[in-house]
Amino acid sequence: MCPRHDDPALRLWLRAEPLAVRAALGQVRAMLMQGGGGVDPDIAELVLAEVLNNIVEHGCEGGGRIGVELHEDAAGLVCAITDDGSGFPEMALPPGGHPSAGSPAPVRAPPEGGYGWFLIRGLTEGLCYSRAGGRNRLTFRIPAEQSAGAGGIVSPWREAPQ
Amino acid sequence: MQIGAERTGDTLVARVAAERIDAAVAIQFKDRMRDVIGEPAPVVILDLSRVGFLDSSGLGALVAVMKLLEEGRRLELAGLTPMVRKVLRLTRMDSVFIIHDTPPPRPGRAG
Repeated sequence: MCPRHDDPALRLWLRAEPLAVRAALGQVRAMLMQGGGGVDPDIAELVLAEVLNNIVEHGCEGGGRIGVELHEDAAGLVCAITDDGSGFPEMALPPGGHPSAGSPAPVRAPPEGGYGWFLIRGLTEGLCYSRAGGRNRLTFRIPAEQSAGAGGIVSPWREAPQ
Repeated sequence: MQIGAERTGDTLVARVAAERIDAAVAIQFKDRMRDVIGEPAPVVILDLSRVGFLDSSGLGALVAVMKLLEEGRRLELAGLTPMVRKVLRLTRMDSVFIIHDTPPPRPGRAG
């Protein structure tokens, strides 16, 4: 079971479309700038952009409604995202490896896609997916004090490019 | 999306006049850049100093523009804001693009 999160500090409902996602991200950023917690607003906005845009592009292609519930605790930003789109195939989240993992560092032709789940996986903790009553629910925490280059992301290359 | 472009010698500078390159505008960005790079300068420097947010869709569009350039031409990035720099570092794309610390000066500016 994914954990339940009561009493969110911010609760939003938005239509599953790119400009609505943008507006929601603006509200999240405003909340984080006011809150003064330890979560990097850039990282939080990036992670939520990836999660929400994935729903828009893959879960709710024909339209739908997304719910966002956030609250900050000492460990970071706790997020619960729900939507009424289609579920993940076989109820499994994408693995989220780096798109170029296993290849030598490409110089000329890196892949154009696949970075979204790589970022989500690398920048969150406790990722949990469930589906009930026709709604998908994704919960995770964006840890406090996480800065770019730290956190769970490790070099995707077999040999670190230096 | 507005992207201004000016050529000096071998270098074409393209300045993105948008605050975000995200899922909402990634296709527009790519289409506009396709027009901009029709000017056949060998080096294309993309000035991102106005861009405060880049997501994976925007990153994919940057890679797509790089791939649109023919052999012998290259895309370089300049004027990265802290957020954009983080995204490039997290995805290791900072090892793929040549990155300039400061945006190219505008022509005609004193000093």
